[in-house]
Amino acid sequence: MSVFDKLVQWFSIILEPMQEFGSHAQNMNSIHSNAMQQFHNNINPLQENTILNGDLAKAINNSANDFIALDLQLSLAADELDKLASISADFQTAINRIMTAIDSAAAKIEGDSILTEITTDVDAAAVIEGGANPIADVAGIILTIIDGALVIDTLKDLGENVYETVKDLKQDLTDLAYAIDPPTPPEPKPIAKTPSWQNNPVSQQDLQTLQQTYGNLAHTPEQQQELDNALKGLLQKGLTPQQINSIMTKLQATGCSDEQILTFLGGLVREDPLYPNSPSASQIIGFINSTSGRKKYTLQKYVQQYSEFAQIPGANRLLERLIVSIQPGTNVEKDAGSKGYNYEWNWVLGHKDQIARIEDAAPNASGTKNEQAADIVMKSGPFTQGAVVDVKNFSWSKFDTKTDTYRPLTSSELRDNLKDTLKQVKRDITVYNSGGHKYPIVYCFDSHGGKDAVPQTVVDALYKQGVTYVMSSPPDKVYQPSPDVLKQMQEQQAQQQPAINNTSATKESIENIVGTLRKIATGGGETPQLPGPGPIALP
Amino acid sequence: MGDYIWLRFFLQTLEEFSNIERWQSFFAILQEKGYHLHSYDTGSDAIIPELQTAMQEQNNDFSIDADGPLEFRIDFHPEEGYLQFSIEAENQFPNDEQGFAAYQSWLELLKEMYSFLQPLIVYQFNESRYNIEREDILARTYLNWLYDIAIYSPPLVETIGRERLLSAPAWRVEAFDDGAVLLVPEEHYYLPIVHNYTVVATHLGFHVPEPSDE
Repeated sequence: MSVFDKLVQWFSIILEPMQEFGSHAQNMNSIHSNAMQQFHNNINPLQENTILNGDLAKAINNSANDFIALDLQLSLAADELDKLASISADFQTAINRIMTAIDSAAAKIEGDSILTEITTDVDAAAVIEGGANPIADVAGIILTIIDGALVIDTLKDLGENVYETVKDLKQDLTDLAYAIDPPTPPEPKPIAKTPSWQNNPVSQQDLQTLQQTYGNLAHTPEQQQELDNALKGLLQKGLTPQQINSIMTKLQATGCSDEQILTFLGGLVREDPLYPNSPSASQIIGFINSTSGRKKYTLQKYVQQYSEFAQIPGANRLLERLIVSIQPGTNVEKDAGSKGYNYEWNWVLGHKDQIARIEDAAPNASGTKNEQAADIVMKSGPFTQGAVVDVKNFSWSKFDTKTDTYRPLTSSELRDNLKDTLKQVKRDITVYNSGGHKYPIVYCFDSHGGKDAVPQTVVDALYKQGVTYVMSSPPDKVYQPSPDVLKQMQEQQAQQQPAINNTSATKESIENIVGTLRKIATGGGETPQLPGPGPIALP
Repeated sequence: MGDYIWLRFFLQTLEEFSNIERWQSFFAILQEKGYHLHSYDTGSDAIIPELQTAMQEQNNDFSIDADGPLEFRIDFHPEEGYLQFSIEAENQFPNDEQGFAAYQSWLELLKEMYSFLQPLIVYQFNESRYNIEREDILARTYLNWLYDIAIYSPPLVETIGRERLLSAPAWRVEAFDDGAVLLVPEEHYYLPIVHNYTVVATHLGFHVPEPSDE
């Protein structure tokens, strides 16, 4: 057998699955295309059913800058229709490149003893037995080949050629994996605090009286437990039976369903490790009282709407923020705190079906206390991409008593505002994008009913800082960077690319690539779940 | 959501911005309190040369980050005549005991900064209220707006009325040795617990917000 044939035989364990991938991909592509087509068919009803007041649906119909088409990049999703076919082509290219490399290496190698030596490292038959997961299989096989090839100095060039090929493939495989199922950003782990109110004693007589009075709200054993917990919690937080009666009377007067009222009560006695003692008894009473006599910010609105998104992790944090920000006498429209949380509340309500988490918190750099992280983390998937969303209700104007009108912020005020926001962007990048995958970072500003546009200086600065999309809503609108900034961003991307290529031959980056492939192959575990010899230490 | 609050220190004269020796002393006080000061733009610890250059070029976009017991930013605005302390309230003053303690220490820091800088006024910016400007302060006009935090210098205290200020039913009213007065209407460490704003504004004869039924 010639050296060339020997090498081809040896590399058949990588070449054959690569060729097989084409047929796998054809089937997968067909299924994927059908799914994507169905997805497209479902888009309009999806939008209309999930966006508050149909604002987004209206925007989609009327504007070329709508949220779906631009912000969530359906165009990109549409490209994924051909992604598998493209991967198949990439594999064919890889095969061709490897064959060329083998040809070149064969010419340089005079004997075949060394090949015999390395083939003992690879159990080709076992490898070929795989096949349930073509993507993972190929990645695992490539890993084996790289490890094997690099052990042998004489095949270093060949190994590097394979490595280059694998690097391109790895990018495509990763893109494919994220395109099919983009992950949700991992949840940061805030420092947990112990609630003190849960240790407060409760008068059993008071509790029983309340349970009897409001027992009709519960229709199942689970609901009975919810009700008991809520009533007990309110007593433990320091509310008197009379105050609880007053709250219950107001809640029942909202006309909301028993289930909605129970859900809301559960939110009041939250057991969140972040700020477990909030809201306090006086804040709860203050909030309930503050809604009396209001036309827009009514108790009915909050009870009803909270029940719509209460199941999202972190929803009770948003309720807590809202409760402590709206107190008697608050002019919500003029109070920065309550205005901001109402805006976030409405945004969550409008996008609730696409949201994975609300009000993330993470320890600060020194680990001494918690800091607010993303307001909202979107679900995984091609539509929402696990985006990290921060909502802002900034006013781009301020009140001027001399003219009795609002006038634009000065340029220095705008800059100060920007500096504050850019600090948050940096934190978002640190918390969510320090790992391999870059989640989209979205900053969404209150348009105040479509009246306020985000100043272009703000838009440009945010894009330059690393924000993926700058938006305003309602209606949802995506802002584009100015041409100069766009050019700068493209140049930066172009500069980053060669830097990666220049270092690609180093062992460190080979190890990184192999590590990534290992993760793809193993689903993140240390040990590959694939047939074959397993990982071999790099030289 | 990440709300920031801005505290403006209107200096007595615009020339003070160019007094580098004074800023050195000012920074030294903060450093003694455990604050690491560095340039917002460059991250450099060598803030004095940068400040010097910025003031010479009348560049009003110079800022310093202060990391220590609290984290805040100091913005220099020589053209408008004020120094601004910006702090992220939601993270620095969370709604718990630790946050309340942090808010109290923030007030103490502001008092000390007042004592060193001796400004015309210190107040917390609020986009929905009238944010008094340098010309107003010098003319003693438009002083009838209540802020969440304010320190009035002695001349402004006299204009408003010392007794009126000191008898305000506010969460905190403090007279300084030099005659200045600190006024914090409500226990408002970011999110209010009790709203005294209207009561205090009425007492002072200041602008009273219209009741809302929104």
